[in-house]
Amino acid sequence: MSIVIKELTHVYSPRTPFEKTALDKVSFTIEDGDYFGIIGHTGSGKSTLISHLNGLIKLTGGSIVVNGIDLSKKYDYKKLRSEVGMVFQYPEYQLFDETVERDVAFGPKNMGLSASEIADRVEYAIKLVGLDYDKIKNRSPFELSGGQMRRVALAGVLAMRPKILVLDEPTAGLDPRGKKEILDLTLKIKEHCPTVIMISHNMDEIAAYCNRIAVLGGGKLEGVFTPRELFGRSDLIERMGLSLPTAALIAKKLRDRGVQISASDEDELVSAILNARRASHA
Amino acid sequence: MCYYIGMSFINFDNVSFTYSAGTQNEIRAVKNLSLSIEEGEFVALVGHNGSGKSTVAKLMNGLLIPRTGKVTVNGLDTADKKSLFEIRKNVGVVFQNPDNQMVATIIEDDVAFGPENLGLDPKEIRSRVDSALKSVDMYDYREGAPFRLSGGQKQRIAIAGVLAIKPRVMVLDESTSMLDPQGKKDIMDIVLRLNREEKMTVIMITHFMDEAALADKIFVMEDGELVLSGGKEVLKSPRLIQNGLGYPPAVSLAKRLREGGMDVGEVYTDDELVEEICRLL
Repeated sequence: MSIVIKELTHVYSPRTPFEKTALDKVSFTIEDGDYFGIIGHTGSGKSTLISHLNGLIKLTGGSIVVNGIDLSKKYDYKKLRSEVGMVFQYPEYQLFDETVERDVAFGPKNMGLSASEIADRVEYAIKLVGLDYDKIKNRSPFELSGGQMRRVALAGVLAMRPKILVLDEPTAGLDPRGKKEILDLTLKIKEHCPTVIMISHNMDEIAAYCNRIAVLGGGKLEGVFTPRELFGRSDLIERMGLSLPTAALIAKKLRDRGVQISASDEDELVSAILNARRASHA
Repeated sequence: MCYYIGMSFINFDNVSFTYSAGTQNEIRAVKNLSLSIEEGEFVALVGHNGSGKSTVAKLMNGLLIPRTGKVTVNGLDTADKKSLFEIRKNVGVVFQNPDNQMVATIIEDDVAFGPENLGLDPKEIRSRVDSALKSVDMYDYREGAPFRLSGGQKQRIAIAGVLAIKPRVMVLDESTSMLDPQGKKDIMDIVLRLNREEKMTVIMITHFMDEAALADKIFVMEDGELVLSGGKEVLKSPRLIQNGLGYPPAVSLAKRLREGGMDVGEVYTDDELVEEICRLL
């Protein structure tokens, strides 16, 4: 079980004056169990890439195989979309129904499941996102707080029991506590939905949660890295118009001042600085 | 809470605002808020989601009128309809989503929208549009279409649109939250320059504590109330941990280094922290 992407190319408005190559021969594999990050500046092709994964954009160049479903052949859209759950930016804008229960049931209903199976899944998904099922099921989603609304939207996707969850900027607009809550929730979700793919502009989040990271720039893949490999390469980060996570950034600023320190997270940075201090006063 | 009553440029005197007042969906977004902002200050307004920050932004230029209490801008009351035009010339707001702020199909037309509505002479409009676009480094794009720009570029156009009105105050309501790291940095650089070099008053509403660390004055809101206000020392108040906002990264790292026995002085930004560490090594 995995996502295998080969030579993926996508051109918007082909053969018109507005022709734009959004993805150019992108190849990589996302393994089962990955918490996979996708980063790149605005317009680098991230959204075009993930829109391919559940068939929202029709494959026109290259090949993609998602958990055995070959998207370059005729395939069952419904099956693909129940495998791959897609949570867009600000997903709470997509809530629409009168009650939380009905909103979350929309996906499973469209899968043609039995009434009891739908009810089970709705309860499962609402509980999985950490909300009190009995208290919230009959409330209007529009009366909830921003963080709660985002969880309900997430539950609507999880109710389809996807094997792969794609999150596009899941923490955008949330305050620091809300951000941490959503991210910690993704770890809990991962126990049920083994593969998580996250787009984020926040490098601290990427460094803390992802095990592998694809870097896109101008529609091309720059490579797939572990966080340590990636954030050790400040040249690449700068060239891509991205930023380093806080700890790596401060370590780099210190190196630029002649202090030989490297660190990929806050703990490493603190102990590296304290060690340098001891060495300099020994 | 302390009261500042006097001739500050922006003054909130015991202001409350309620959405859907008198209905069952009533939300008391701002409660008995008093604060003052002087000309030339760089102010950060921080708070959790739903703390009332955006309501405060909208109260600052009369998009919302207080239910009780009074907001004045340069001595003019926002509740006085005759003053609104003058107030909005003085206070420009840049919102979160750049796509919601574009009104024209050509970039320079979009930036000209404000000055056109001020009824200015076409020559003056041309010169304001050009200098506003140069100020955000988007002059070369002036004849292009906004929809082809990146989020950060669109946000720069939105700032240019505000600059072309020549306001004395710019309010940025989470204006960097949808941008990529480069876009975020570009906006912060522009805003800092406008404040430092052109003495524009800047009010930055944000969740990013590293952005707040650049301000001279910090206001912290919780559930519609102002709970902390003051200089940078606000950024090390334990209250920021309790309310979930957290410290700016440099403040929390400095704290950990002190716990490890290093005598780190007062720092708020990454650069200040780096400077201090270099001094101590």
